[in-house]
Amino acid sequence: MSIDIVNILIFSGINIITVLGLNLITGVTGQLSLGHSAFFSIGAYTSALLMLMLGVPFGVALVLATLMAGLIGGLFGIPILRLRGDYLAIATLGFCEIVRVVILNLKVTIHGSEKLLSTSLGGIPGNTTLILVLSLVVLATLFMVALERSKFGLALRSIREDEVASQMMGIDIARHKILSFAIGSAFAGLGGALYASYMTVISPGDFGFMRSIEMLCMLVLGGMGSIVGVIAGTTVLTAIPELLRFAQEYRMIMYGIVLIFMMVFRPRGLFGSIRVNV
Amino acid sequence: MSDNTILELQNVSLTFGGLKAVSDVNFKMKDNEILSLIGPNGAGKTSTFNLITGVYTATSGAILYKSKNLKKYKPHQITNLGIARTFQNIRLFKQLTVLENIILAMDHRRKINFFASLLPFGPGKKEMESVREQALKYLEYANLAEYKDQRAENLSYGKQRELEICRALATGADLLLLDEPAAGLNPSETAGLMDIIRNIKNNLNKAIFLIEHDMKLVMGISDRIVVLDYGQKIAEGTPEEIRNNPAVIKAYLGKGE
Ligand SMILES: Nc1ncnc2c1ncn2[C@@H]1O[C@H](COP(=O)(O)OP(=O)(O)OP(=O)(O)O)[C@@H](O)[C@H]1O
Ligand SMILES: [Mg+2]
Repeated sequence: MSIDIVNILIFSGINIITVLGLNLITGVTGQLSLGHSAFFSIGAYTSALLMLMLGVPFGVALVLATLMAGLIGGLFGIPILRLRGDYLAIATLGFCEIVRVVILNLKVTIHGSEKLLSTSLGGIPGNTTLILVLSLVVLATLFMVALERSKFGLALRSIREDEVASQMMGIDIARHKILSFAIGSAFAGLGGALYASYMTVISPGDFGFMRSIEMLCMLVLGGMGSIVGVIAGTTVLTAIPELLRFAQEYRMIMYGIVLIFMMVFRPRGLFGSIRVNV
Repeated sequence: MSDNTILELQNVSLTFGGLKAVSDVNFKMKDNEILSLIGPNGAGKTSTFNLITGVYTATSGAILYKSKNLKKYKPHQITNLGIARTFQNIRLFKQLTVLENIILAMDHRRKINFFASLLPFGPGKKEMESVREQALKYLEYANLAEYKDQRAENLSYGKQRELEICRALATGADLLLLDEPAAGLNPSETAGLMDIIRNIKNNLNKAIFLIEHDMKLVMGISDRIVVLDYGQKIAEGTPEEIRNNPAVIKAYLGKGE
């Protein structure tokens, strides 16, 4: 049995980009989202369909898929970011289901023939390479580091710490939350688009709400609000099921155990230094 | 406006369900005075601050700041207009550093392009340096500079109270609302606080609106006092007038305070 290192690195990279987005929303801004996989699927389908239906080049499709996920994230954020805590979590969960059901019911025309998206969508150009993924991971990481240190990032952290006080400092918290949600969702969209062009076949089953939970686990393991944590937590949880084949079947149990273990012994995660009360 | 009124409440009421937390309250405040708001527990003092800062919306009546009706402003816009506050239960950004707390208060005055602010060179870097410098000046003024890199939650209780006042000041506000700043302080810390408040008024020319239960502090520092009881204004006047006002004495003694 050989270990496919390239495979592990590509999946880790895609997940890192995606979880960096979730970290911005949940770890930095303090808004718990259980709908991150919805934006991942929006990115995957946008990019795949642009290439299959319109023959858009891969690079352009990647950018448009990112923007699309960001736009939908921002629009969706307008009504729901008034909610807090449990209510926000449930609303994002609902959104995740809506996106899945919409995709299940979509009908598209590819090369003159009608196709239902409820079945798997194949023939996606396989342009995702290791070099591309790693370069984007580096760019995404640098962007997030800069963002967190900036005026905008500081304002987001103040919202996580205390919304009312943040408002009283003159910060427009609604606008900041929506932007944070849009940028975080865009990162998920980019991850999804890379995923589609790595797998070349995608189906709605790939993006259920359990995917959101998986992403949250990666974030919790590494430590909310910690970029190093995102990279470590995501790589570990992506690699384990690949390295230990028997763990594949038990991956959900593994996530559950990781969550419980972390909550009990290291609530701030491996590299985290902050508490996030969502 | 020809006079120097900075804040005016006109027949302001606030109801929660059946409860009148603030009931038809009227008063004016000048831009060079320390005005105190006192009254027994639950009298509606904090609610009044929440109305002024836009956290609550008045059921009826109008609140004017520098002649502008605050009704159409959101809370963050009210801060931009020049009103800042502290909270009865300290609300610092606990896990951020002392310096970051101050920089956040300056956020709405920072005019830097989003993309420029991301770059570690050029105008973004320059702007960040100048903001840090100004923020440090505020901390030096409040004698908190030595704690600048500590998390706010690691300061002593008294220092946290001071940092909260310093943070309100750093918003650039002309009117500071302080909600029980002496709560939990020992007598020597309270005396220090009195000096700080006087200093802010006299040297920085800010108007200060103070909620406080510590009568020694209130009587010693206030230019004028407004007294609330069950949401209603029962008295207004100088410390002398308030000290001898029968309605005030009754409100306090009637509750066994
Ligand atoms: N959000 C709210 N919902 C319902 N009732 C409220 C709310 N906020 C305040 N109240 C009620 O309004 C009344 C006035 O409260 P407020 O906090 O303004 O009193 P206070 O004068 O600041 O008292 P204290 O000295 O104890 O701080 C109280 O009866 C309180 O229970
Ligand atoms: Mg109060």
